[in-house]
Amino acid sequence: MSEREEIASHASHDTSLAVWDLASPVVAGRRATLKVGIACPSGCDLTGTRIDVYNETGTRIGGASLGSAPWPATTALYWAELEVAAPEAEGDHSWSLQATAPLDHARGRPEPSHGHATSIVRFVASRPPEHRVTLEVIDKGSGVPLTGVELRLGRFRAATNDAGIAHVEVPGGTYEVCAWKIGYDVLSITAQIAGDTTIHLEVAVAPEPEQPYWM
Amino acid sequence: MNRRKFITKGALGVGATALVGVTTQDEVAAQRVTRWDRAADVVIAGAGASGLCAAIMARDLGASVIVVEQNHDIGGHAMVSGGRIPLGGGTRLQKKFGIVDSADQVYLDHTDPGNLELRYSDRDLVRVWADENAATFDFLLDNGVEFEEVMPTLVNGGTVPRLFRTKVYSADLKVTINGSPGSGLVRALEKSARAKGVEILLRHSLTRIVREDPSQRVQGITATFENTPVNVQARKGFIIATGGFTSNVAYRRMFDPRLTDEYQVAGEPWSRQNADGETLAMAMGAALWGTSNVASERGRSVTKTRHIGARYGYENLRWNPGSPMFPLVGGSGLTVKSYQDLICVDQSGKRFWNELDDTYGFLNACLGRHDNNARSAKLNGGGPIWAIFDADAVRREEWEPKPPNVDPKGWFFSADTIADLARKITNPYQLQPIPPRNLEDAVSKYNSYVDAGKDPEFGRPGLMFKIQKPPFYAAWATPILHDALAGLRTNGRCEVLDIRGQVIPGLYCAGESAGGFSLHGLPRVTVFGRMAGREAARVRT
Repeated sequence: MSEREEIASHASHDTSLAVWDLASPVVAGRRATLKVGIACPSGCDLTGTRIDVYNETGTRIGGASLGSAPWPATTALYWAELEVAAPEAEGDHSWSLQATAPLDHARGRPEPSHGHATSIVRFVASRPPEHRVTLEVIDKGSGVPLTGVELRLGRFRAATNDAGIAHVEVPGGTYEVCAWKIGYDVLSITAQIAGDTTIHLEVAVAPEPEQPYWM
Repeated sequence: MNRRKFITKGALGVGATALVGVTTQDEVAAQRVTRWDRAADVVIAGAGASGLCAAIMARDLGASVIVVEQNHDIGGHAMVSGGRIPLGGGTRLQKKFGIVDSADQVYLDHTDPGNLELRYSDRDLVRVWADENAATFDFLLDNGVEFEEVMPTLVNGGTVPRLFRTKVYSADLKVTINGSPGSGLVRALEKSARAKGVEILLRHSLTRIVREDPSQRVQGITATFENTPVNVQARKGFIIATGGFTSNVAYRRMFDPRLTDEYQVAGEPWSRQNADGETLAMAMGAALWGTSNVASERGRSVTKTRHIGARYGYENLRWNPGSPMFPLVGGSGLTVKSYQDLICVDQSGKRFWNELDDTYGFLNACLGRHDNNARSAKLNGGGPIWAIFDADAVRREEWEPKPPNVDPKGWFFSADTIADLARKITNPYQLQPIPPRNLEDAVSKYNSYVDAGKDPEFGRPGLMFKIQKPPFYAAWATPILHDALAGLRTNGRCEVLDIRGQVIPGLYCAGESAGGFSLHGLPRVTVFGRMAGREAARVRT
């Protein structure tokens, strides 16, 4: 279907999906949780819509019926939290999600106007964590612990708490550690993780850019 | 005597017999003799920073002065500016802070061949500008302009601290329009000008420059007030200070054909730079000058939007909801602390560049083709650029994505899913709907790059955040235009030159409408405004 045909075929009940809060990486072989929501452009009540999750081989690995309360701050996004088994193998993966409208009891089949919305969610699976890494982040100039610093260890992510501390559990290996916060320079170091460890990071305030171009 | 009889008689008086067979007698007469409704020694079009400086200086020298201004109030772009006036050469405030400076040093600093923004300037103009720096700054002080008295800083690649900023004129937004420091410049100048006897005619748009005989001097102008022409005689000279051309789409595209109508302009909707003065002068044979500056990809002719989700998001002008202009502005915009929190997509819903790039590389990508492979009626311009983000980004940036911060009437949208967001985006410049599948693919791919820690498409560094948590948002983030950077050719006396390099007698130009010196903002327009007023007032009639 061309882009124009896709637009032309859009109906006012053309439902679509959102998928969020799926940890990435997930731990290979363990249970993973995710949230799934479905919305109708016309704001229809989609309580009871069935969501099924399929792995890369097309095997159904889980599902749920959506609740009656829309997700906060949305117009009418009906949602559910699902728990499914993560893939056994490390690496990049994807799951397919399919929504099936509630049963139209009068007709004995799914209510027809909302069709079958589908979506694909991509994620990463890793080996089980082996080591607990504690990251302590301070302001380089003042020495004050920094809250809300976004951290990456390879594909693992975390953010510091009010004490400027974050914990990440990772498999052993070599990681690029990045720290970033609005108003600060990006800090990047390489760390070898072979056991439980603490990494101290000092991030520097980014210089205010000169703004010679006023109105 | 009615107008028709007056014109006919006047025409006979100047010997219209040489013109026969082309037009009627009355038409010839109308071209040859103007009935003046008003008269002054010096007439100025534009009551912005340049025009007001010109008016005061001419009046100081004893000339009578009329200023016509198309807006309902004075001030032009300067009213909503940052009031930054880095003039040097030994101003009174520089001396107060113990700073040693000279006109020579000002000249050298602004003609450094290593300065990529300024090196294409006409050094004859830079020299006279440098010589007038200190006198102009002191002139501003003498006319009541107040500056923040803090140690000045270096700016524009200079070697001597020169940057002083004016104080906001008052706490009343009806007076200052947006509470910007530039109000302290133009309101003080207005007060001084009126006190000295300058007459300012508001809502008068410049529509004609009168020179009945092309071999003679400019005699005056026609301005239009409420659809009625008003002829104003300029006995000594007429000064164009209309403020540049960035709001005139046809005109700006002479320099860069990509700059089609989707690009909004800093300072709008308060003041529009329509090239009124330039187009009329060019019709008389005036030359342009310094045109390469427009497309040199230096300075601020095209800028990255900082306040997204509203029409006018120029980085250093965030509209105050209390401004009397706000009903036309529509929204203040969400101020982006970091482009880490969003992706940018084009009019087809696709990413196209590293969003963290703050160079002209990003801007050129915005102005690019965007899958428009000659299948559209509109091939120039890059079309709308939309910032896409999610609820987590709103939390991180501490935004409140609702009016008056955003303008939901075509400039900001929210939806429960990415597909619905694509369907909701409608805007006067969005010429076709965004295919939901495109936007879903763009977000899905970007999210996978965040997982991988690498953006193989556009090389965006430090990927941090997925776009996944509902609701989702689309905010207008199309580049916004600012400086004109080119204009009419003038000499060191602010006289306009024609395409043969000859002076057009009686015609002067200053401010953004004048070309040849690509220095941004108020230091250029104040100096040349004052000079133009002086030179016009000195003419012997």
